[in-house]
Amino acid sequence: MKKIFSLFLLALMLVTTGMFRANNAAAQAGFDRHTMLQGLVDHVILPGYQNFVDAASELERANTALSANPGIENLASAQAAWRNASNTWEEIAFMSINIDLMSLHNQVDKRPINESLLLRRVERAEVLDEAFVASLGSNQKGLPTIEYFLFDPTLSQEQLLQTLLADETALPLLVALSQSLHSTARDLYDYWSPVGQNYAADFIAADQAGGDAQSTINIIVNELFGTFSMILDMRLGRPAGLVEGSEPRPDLDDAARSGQALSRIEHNLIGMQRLFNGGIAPDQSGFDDYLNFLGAEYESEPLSDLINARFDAAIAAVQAIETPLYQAVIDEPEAVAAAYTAIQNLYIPIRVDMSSQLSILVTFSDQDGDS
Amino acid sequence: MYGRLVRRLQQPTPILPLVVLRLGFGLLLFVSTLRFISKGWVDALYIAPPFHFTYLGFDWIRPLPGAGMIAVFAVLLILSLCIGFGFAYRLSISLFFVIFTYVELIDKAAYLNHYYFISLLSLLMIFLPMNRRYAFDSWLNPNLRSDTVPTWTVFVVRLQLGIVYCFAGFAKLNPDWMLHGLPMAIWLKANTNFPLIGWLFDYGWVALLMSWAGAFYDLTIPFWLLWKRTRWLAYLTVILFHLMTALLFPIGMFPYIMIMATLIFFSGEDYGEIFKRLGLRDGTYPQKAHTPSRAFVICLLIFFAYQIFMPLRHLLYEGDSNWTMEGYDFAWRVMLNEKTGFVIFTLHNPETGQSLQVYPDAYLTGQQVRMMSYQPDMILQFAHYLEAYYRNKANIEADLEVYAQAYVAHNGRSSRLLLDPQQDLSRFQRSIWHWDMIQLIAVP
Repeated sequence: MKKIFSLFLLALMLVTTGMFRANNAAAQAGFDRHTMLQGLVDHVILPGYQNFVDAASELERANTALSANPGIENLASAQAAWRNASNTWEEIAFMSINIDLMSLHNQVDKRPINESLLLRRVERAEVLDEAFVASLGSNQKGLPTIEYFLFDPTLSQEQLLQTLLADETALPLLVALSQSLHSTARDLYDYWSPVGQNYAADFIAADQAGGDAQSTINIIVNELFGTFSMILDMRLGRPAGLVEGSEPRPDLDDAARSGQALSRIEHNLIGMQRLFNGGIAPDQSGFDDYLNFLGAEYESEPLSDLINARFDAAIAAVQAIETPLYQAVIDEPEAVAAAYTAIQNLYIPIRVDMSSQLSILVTFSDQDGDS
Repeated sequence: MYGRLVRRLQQPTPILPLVVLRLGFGLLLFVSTLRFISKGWVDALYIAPPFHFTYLGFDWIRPLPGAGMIAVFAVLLILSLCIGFGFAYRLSISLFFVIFTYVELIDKAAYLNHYYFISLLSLLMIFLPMNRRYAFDSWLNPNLRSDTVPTWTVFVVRLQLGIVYCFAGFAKLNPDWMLHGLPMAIWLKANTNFPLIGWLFDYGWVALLMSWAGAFYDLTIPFWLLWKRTRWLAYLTVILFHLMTALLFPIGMFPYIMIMATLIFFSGEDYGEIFKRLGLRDGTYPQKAHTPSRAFVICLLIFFAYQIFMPLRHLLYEGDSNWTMEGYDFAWRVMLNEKTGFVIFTLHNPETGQSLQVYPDAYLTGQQVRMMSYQPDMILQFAHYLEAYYRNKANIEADLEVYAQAYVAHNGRSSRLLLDPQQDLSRFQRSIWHWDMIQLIAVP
């Protein structure tokens, strides 16, 4: 018995001292995931929601000004404020990581809108205020509904203004919708904020639960997967006729009224890259640092560098499309296909290599696995 | 020699190890089935998916429609209790084996090693006299009562467990596991917040130590359990080892099933003392004849020969089974690889020249997507499904071509294409033979 153990220990010593592949993490202190998650909250999530609160506030102010003084200039300001709010939102939209957040996120951006139900509700309403909007379903409010009133690519700005003025409910409803959006934005910030509901503390603490140690990181990475899937399939692939069909489908552009679909994708990618890097500043701890700590490589290059390069390439490819998506799928199919391919090339190392390195369980279900 | 062995296997031995196994098996399977139902997996895995990955030769096995699968699991619950308490035991365990195995054969995406183990054990248990003591059957029918059983009835269960452990250990004897501490290093680094010892998991030598310890454990634990002098210490190790795996990995009931099943290694004398302390009678009822027929012995030999062949069959295939997955299932290759994959299918109509891409997430459950993403035969089966689906959908008479870009990362290495992306998968059929389309990689 003793001999067997002695042989076993001897063999183990031989292997540990000389034979096994040098791992650059072996001699280092452990990677501080707590610091990384705290950094994600401090440098990405809270600033992201704060930016959206500011943008929603500006949108509310612009819509109030439009309602008080209807004119082309104020309409353009309201449209610009909406575009800014939409872009700001997309940079944080993928953080819909639990039921509460899912519900709040749906209040901000649930597409497509139920236009006929909304108009019926408006017709029956006595007062068009924030309380009325609060009573509406998520597909009758938020950014897409405001977009519905503020944009119409078939009309000139003057015609659009006249249409808004012709409907006496439109401008009061726009104000109420933007007030409600602003409230939801504040609720979202409050949900995360340490001086509010402080979900940030639970978010970080969920990484401390022993066997469930990966839960927070698992959840975030799975949300990224879901966002990429959505972009490649529904938001870009199907309108372009590259996924599930062979012909372009401009009608599937999910932000056709504002022509903002590509900008939404671009800002989605910008937000995800920020999350990957843990912020904007190079010293902020993110998934890139975690991968570097693990020595994750792709073809002898740091995996984090590859992913960042592909983020840059994907964002540039989307920016290179000059017309709105519904038009580009007809007029610029090569550029759209190039953007699709660039995003796919980005998704593959994130979905396969990064999740393998982080031992991410692709959790669409929590079925056991011993195979 | 042969005669001595036969005589030895026929000698009476206390029935208590079988009684404990029966009770543990029944109750644990009851809890396991209840857990499966309560987590909504009956619906998620068997009712909701419109498509199931079948096993080669078992394409005819389909889930029952409507509430049929719920009824199946309800029956399994009842049967588990019947087995545990020894009520209509032979019928209960026979039905349990058939129904449980039917469920496991519905979808390859739901394959787990411990489900396979339960199927094998329940098949074996059909032929063992496990209801002759401390069972409703023996209580209702005193003629059935016996305190002893032939030694072979306990031996075959121990042999079954020994096969599981030893082949799980042999499978670990590969360069990744033994020299690089992979995939243990990846898994441990993902668990550095594990209480008390998590800080150690960042060190490469810990992963290597645990890899070696795991291989040593699997290869030798049946022998430590068989040896009377080390049995209690070995069982304590079994408990610690499996509890550790339960805490570290999402492997469900597997650790508890192994902790329960290894109770068979305790002898009748060990249990006799415990039962005596519990005030239960022992040694009153004589042994009933339970001499196996020649045909049964031959079947038993085939049963175990099959179990020797299955874990070794990967040697007949070209390439590393951990990458190709050929000869991988039903071979006790448990928690051996960290694999992540992603497949994009492209359908091409050669008549019109049109192509489209398909993401499997839109057609399969998450579990199916995950399991398919690194298993060539499942990718091939789904390619055929897509071809037929789109041909029907678009009312196309011509055959469509199906291509797959299947990226797989194995044990932390850069992702590689598993299959040749230039090959039309619709031209190939699943078979038990090596599939040339698999792009082999060099074993590190």
